[in-house]
Amino acid sequence: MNDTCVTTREARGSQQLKVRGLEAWYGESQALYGVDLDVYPGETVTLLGRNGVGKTTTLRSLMGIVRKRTGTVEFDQQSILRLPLHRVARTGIGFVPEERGIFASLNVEENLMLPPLVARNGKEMSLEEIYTLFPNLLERRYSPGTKLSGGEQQMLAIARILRTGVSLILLDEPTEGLAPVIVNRIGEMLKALKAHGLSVLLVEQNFRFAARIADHFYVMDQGEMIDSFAVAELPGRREALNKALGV
Amino acid sequence: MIEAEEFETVVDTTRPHRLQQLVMLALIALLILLPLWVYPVLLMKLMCFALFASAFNLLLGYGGLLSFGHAAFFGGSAYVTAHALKVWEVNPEFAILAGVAAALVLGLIMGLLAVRRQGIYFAMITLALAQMFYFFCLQAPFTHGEDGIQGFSRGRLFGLIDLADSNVLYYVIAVVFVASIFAIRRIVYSPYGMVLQAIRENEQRAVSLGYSVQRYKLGAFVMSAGFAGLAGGLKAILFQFATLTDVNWHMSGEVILMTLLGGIGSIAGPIVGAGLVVTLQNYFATTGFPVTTALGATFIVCVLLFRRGIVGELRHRFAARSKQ
Amino acid sequence: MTMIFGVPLVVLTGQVMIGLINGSFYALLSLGLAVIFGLLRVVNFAHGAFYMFGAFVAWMLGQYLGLGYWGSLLIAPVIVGLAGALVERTMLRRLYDLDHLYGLLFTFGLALLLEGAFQHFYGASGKPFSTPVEMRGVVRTDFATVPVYRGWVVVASLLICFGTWALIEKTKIGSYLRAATEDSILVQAFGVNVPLLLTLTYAFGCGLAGIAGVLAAPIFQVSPTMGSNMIIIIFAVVVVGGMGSILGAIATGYLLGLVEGLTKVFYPEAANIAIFVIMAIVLLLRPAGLFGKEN
Repeated sequence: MNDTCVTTREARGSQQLKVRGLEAWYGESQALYGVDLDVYPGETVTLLGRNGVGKTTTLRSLMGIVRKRTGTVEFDQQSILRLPLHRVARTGIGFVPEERGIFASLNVEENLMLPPLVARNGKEMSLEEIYTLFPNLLERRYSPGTKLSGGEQQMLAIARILRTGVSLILLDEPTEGLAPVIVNRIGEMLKALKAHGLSVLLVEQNFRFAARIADHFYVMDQGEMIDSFAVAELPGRREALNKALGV
Repeated sequence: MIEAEEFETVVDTTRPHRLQQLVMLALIALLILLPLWVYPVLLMKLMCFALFASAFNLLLGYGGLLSFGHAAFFGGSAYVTAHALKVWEVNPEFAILAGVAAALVLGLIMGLLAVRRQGIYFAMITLALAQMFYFFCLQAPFTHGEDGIQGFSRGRLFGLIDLADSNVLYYVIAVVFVASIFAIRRIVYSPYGMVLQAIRENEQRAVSLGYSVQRYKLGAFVMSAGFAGLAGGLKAILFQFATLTDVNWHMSGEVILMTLLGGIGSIAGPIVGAGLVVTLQNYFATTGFPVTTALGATFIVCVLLFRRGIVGELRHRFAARSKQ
Repeated sequence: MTMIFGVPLVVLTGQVMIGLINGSFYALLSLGLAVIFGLLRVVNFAHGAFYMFGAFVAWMLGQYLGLGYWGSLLIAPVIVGLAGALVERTMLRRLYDLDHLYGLLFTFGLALLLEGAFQHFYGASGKPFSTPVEMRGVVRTDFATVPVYRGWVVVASLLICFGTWALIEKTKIGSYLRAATEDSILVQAFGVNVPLLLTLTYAFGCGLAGIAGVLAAPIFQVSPTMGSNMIIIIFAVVVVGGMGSILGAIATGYLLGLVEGLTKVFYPEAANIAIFVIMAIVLLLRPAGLFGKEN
């Protein structure tokens, strides 16, 4: 069973995102210790771990927001570690931060239109498509972005990345603080992304949510990657996982 | 946060080190002997500006407050001192006291307004208030406008010591200077100074610990104004005039540069910086190169390349070496 | 003759006009200061120097190249903006990660440098700058006498202020600016070239100061110290209005210009310090400023 999973993962082609020995620092204090991680094309990968073990830092280091890093980060076989921050997005990576990053001084539509297009590859969604998918964003297109509810803000945060035509989305805790109904809707949305052929690297505390949509899991502890397994291996891992996550 | 010399405030609290004591004694001995080799008027000018910069540094280096209006205290006190000598014909010690008192009152008024805002706003407010004072001096009759107050004698200290002799005046100023530096040092290392530095490091924390932050800042502002006034009064006596130059915003800029160049947040920094700036000014005045441009360029180089200042940079290197 | 509060109406309207003129410059300059501060978190002390620089560039373009007022009005601000861009690229950007006070100190040094240099090469006294021929007349009505050029300055500054407001609030690049003012890192992570945006913003703000300088040249003459006198007043304006809002900066500029103009009618001795007094009062009553959003 293990073998079949490995082959299915590799059957997707070569790694879209390949991370080896990533170390990162906030000032003088080291936050990541030799993180290895792969995302294959079209895959949804979830990063698990307790609070403060470096999940968000991993995303921020991949994106280039945390600048003090060493190691290898390749996206589509291109090293992106030394790129200036604004060039990283243009290689095709989109970022949805934990705090969602909706701008108060921009209305909903301006928030949607803010990130520049990074590729015209058929993956980008037009404004019309987005409004069809999220009719309440259309309804409130001229109200300030931060006047939306938490769930709507999260949808807006994801939708605006979809518009740019990225092929990998880094999603930081999209369900945090949201009601179960909304969490379900976001789950549907992520499945739709997957059907669309996008890869997702998801940081998530809500393990049940993650289990429904992820293809592959990584587990972090104290800035290190301590485990990696496919979704099919999940049932046998429950106990070890509960221990690692402290639930 | 402005890069001040933090370790000094942590390591050494009240008692000077034995080595430091020796260095201080040597410096005082040097101060006594220097007029043998150097023109005393230049030395006195240096001491006036060194005291001015030290007063400014008390506020910036230990309180973290950047004032762009210290010329008001320096020049305001110079005017009052000169006026007291010329019109009231009091002894120089009373003239200086009057000057310092004026600076304290002015400091209290400006401080009350300025401490209501923080950071860059504080800087802008002090600048604007000092400019207001400048316009007042420009129009008030007792300052004699563009001419300034001049043509008075230095008088007799305590009615006994004639200050007309520059060598005598030198030692008077030297005593006041040394005493003031020690007083500033005392303030910095006192419990009050510690709280002030704590506020500089983290204002929120100081507030949550229950300190009345505004009152501490105001205290520092007024004391700094007082010492700046003392420097201005001494300068008025030394040169026997008081003019608009001393209340102009350029003067506020110069004292910032002295402190920045020498090193913010150390006792020696502003003294070294004042020496350098005065020397630079004297030098450029002889070359025909515009002094203001030279000062501006020094500012830029200082901010871009060595924000610790000369003394801070030396200390940093020394500390790095002794760690190895 | 019509009198109001014991003052002839013509005198009153004349002072209102002067107030509007000064207010135009205050508005243009504090607007640029607010735009720069919003994104770069730098209080541009050199703003007055760039204003002076704009006036001098216009004067030099006329003196050495024979360029007329209208040509200068277009070209001088571009030159000033380019100078601003150069300063930002080579020096100012090294200071963004430090305490904001360093930005203030750096630009203060820059202001000294520029003022000193112009004083050295062109002397302390003002250079006359003639009003363009088309604008030399005076419009007379029953209650006011308005020199055409001054009327033009008020109209032009209103147009520029409105244009800047529209640029920031209504365009794509304006949305980048607003977003980056809130969270520049995230905007850059989206793929927007924020370092370039910072350069453009600083250049634009300096360019605005340059335009103000050209507009001011025929009214106040061209002198090296015109900038430093102005920047201190602008700082007071900014303390009163707060730097959080574009419209707030514009409105405060005009308002304080008017108040200053009226002070000249009723209490001329205090005209110089009227704005500073208002600043002190505002600090006592509303420490955060009229439109204050201070963190």
